[in-house]
Amino acid sequence: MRIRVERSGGFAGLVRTAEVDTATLPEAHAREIEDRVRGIDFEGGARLSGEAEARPDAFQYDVSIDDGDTQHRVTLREPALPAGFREVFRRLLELG
Amino acid sequence: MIARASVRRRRLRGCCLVPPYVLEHLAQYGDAAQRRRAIGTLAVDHSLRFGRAQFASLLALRPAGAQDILATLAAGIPRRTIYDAHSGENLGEATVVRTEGSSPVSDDAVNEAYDNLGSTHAYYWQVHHRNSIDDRGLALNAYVHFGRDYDNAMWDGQRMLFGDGDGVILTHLTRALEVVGHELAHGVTQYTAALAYQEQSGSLSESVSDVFGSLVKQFTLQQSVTEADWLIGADCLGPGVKGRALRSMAEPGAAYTDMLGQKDPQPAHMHDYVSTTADNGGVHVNSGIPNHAFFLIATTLGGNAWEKAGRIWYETIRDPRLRPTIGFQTFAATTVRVAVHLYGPSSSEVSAVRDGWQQVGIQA
Repeated sequence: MRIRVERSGGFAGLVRTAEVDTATLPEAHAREIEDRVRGIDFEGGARLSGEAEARPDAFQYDVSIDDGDTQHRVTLREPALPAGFREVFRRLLELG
Repeated sequence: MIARASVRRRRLRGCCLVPPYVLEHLAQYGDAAQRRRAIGTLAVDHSLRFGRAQFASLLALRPAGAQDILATLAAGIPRRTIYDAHSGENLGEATVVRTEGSSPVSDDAVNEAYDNLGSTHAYYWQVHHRNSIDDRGLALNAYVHFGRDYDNAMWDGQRMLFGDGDGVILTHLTRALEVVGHELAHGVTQYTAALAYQEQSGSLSESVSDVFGSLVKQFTLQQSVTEADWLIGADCLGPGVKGRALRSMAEPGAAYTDMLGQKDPQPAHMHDYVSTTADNGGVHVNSGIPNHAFFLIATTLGGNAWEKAGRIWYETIRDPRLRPTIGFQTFAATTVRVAVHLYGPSSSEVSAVRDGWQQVGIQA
């Protein structure tokens, strides 16, 4: 699974990118990330993010996931982040 | 209004010549003129602990004709509540740690949030006669220690949320007065121009917040345009950043040379406008252009930035003809129209406004 998340916005306007290919990770970490990512409702988050008005200084996350035969390309915005997403992003920053 | 005249006179004198307990005595037992002056003075100095309890007992006295003065008294006092979110994101689990009029606590973040909210409220009241964010005394609630390593502070439409930062890039997010002012200014924009948070209107929203954030700091420290540093976020940069601040209104693009391998991306001129889909169309980047215009206008006018340039900007965002999706050019034209209205069509103020915008590549 290849995951790329670019976070922009926030009052500091800093761009942070986390990019991980689970094939390059130790087995346990790869499994952990894949399970967590598959458990996230990206489409639901994207829908809520798209419907809500953009909040000033909120973070914007541009997510791109290649999971074998499925692909996700979504934009998420605080506060409409799907459950578990923030933790996954922090973990990707640690591992990437 | 009487209280407003008292505000100006007190501001010029600088300090509190009459002790609070004397003012309170006069407010209750003086003759009509003494009561007016005492109440006006008390209304201005938000740092006095003239809290809601004392206000309520004054209200009970109700001297004839003092209703509007009492309303003014209330308008000059913020209503702050600080919560500790205990590194979580569920606001329902946060606990109240400081309320309006109470003493400082041991947690610096709580005291910084409390003080900076108060300074922002005082700026809008004393300079623009605006009663809190909505001009109707909106309570100022802030949550500190929000989330884990959360590198952000934001106004979510109803309240301030402060992370602690990750300690490397950002830290002490409650400490920088202009950052708190910036966030609350988003609230003011919400109730006035309601600028749409994307592309040019979003960059204007960001710039207006930097402008008023900087003005709050300059006013609180009583700095002239030459004394001000025109920096945003200098107090919350972590040790992992090479630079002076997050943004510079005087020199967009020069605030930092290395933050996670990136340098300050802000342009100072329309030639360098950045087209991107990130950050809602680069709202934190392209804000450099109107920021720099404000800096140029304020420094050309000289003195204290909040008096003329700040006044023009405040009247601009309140202009009912402004639409949420305006671009830089329309905003600039509105600042000129406001300056004409305030200072006359051939005034040096109007020339300064036009020149400032021209220097960043916008014909106003």
